[in-house]
Amino acid sequence: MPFLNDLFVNLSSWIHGFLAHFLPLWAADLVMMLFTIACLIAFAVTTIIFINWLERKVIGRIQDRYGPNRVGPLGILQCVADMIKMLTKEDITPAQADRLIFNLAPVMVVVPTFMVLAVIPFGRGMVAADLNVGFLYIMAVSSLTTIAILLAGWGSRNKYSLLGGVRVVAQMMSYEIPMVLSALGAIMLTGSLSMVSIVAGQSRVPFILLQPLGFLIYLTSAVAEVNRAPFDLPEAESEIIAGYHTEYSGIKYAMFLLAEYVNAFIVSAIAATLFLGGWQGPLLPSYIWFFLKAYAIYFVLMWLRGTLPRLRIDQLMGLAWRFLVPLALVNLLVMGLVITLTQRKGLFSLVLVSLVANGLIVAAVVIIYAFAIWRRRQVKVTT
Amino acid sequence: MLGLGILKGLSVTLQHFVETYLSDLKRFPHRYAPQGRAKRLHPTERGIFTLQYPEERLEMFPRFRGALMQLTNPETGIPKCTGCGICARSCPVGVIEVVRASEKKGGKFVPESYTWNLASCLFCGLCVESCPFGALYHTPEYELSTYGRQKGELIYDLDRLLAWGQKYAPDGVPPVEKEK
Repeated sequence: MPFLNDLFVNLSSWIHGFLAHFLPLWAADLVMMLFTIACLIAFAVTTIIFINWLERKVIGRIQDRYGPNRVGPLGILQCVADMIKMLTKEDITPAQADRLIFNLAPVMVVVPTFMVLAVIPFGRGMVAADLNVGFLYIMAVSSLTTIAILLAGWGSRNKYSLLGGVRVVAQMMSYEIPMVLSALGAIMLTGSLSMVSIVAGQSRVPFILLQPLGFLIYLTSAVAEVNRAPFDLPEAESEIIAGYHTEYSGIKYAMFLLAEYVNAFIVSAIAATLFLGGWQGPLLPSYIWFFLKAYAIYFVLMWLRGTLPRLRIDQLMGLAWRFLVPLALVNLLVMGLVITLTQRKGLFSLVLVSLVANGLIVAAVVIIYAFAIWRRRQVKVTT
Repeated sequence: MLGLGILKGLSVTLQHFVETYLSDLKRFPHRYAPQGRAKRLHPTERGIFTLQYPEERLEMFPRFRGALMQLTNPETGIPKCTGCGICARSCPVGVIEVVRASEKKGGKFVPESYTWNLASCLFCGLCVESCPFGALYHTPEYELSTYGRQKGELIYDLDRLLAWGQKYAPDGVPPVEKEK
């Protein structure tokens, strides 16, 4: 088991040692860095192939059908067939499009996706770069996707694409706030922005037990952040004809697809890291625990997609500004109080107090909601 | 409340998700069956209900207007068709061509050649309705695609139509007539 536990770490240090035999140290470090980057990109591409297949299977099952089952055993090669189709399709640039922006956008949308992978701890010691501002880096870099998608919508010179791009900006800016505010709870508990320390801080208890509410807020805004159903307004087929990627075809469309799926996996991975304890777990090797947790959250995303219809744009904005942002703020305040009050009181009291605090917040929301309904009824009766 | 509705929806979809696996497990080694869909469509059955086409096929109802067939008189073994050409004249797109043989056979006229051009047929069924001898009928056959139209695969001659007649009405009575 110790061999399997540190398989990838040992492999990388062995390759580094091998290179150091006939290269100066800085060159060996450089080669290792490039090697890690290549591994991460290969990982991202493999992940999208697997996730795409998995998602189609799960959604199919939810709708009482098999999903892809023709290409290869259980249809596992379906994505390979799709990729071949996309790569060999004609690459069309609309005559009226802004050529530079139109061609730049698919690249710009993929690059931040790969960059975020650098700070995610996939296992014990398996992180490409342990930045001490890891979470800040993730938020900053993943926000770049917004600009790329707006450029795609703008460069296409298509009304529907532009509408999709504008919707992306509105949605991402709104949902980034509750996302950060809910993640701040985990950061307050650890006192560090580094993803590695956040995982290390959960060695005794995963943060989902301390702040289930924060986890739910994070999950909701993460789904909105990666434009997935039920928050997929920027690419609503029935309203704005697939939104910002209406005009894209072939490999450029494949780039958007890749970014979308890898982003969805990344938010599940971040949720697993912040709230489920990352790679920590008994018996199994650390990286297997990490992927189990990440895929469990990804399953929830697929499940939501298979269940909920798309929201209206006013419902979407209302959910963010009237519900999630105040709730996240209250949650943050209460968590701050709880952490201060239970300092040096032991883990058990921390868990207990934070669970009670979360329950109180939920109870308050329910009471306010009931009161609002009651008031509305009163008004209806009098008029 | 909004949240309760979402939870209820989630439970419904999860139920469907799990039930497809349970029903798969029940049928285990046989996933697809020739009559699988009829069985799966039963109201009490849960799980996957889609038709897995090449492995499973729907059985067509007797009045389905598929490809044409020519019937043979089972007693004499001679085609019922007399080559009168009424079907050809009633055809709105002219896909049927009939040539009557110069000599009678078994005391009745017979066609010398009879061709049906599938490529322009619109399956209106006027030829079948107009046939006074009850020789022309539809088959439940619907997989009529070919890989090209140059080799004449879409032009059906008398032999092919009679062969289908033998297949779907060996006793000289097509399924439609039996239904009446």
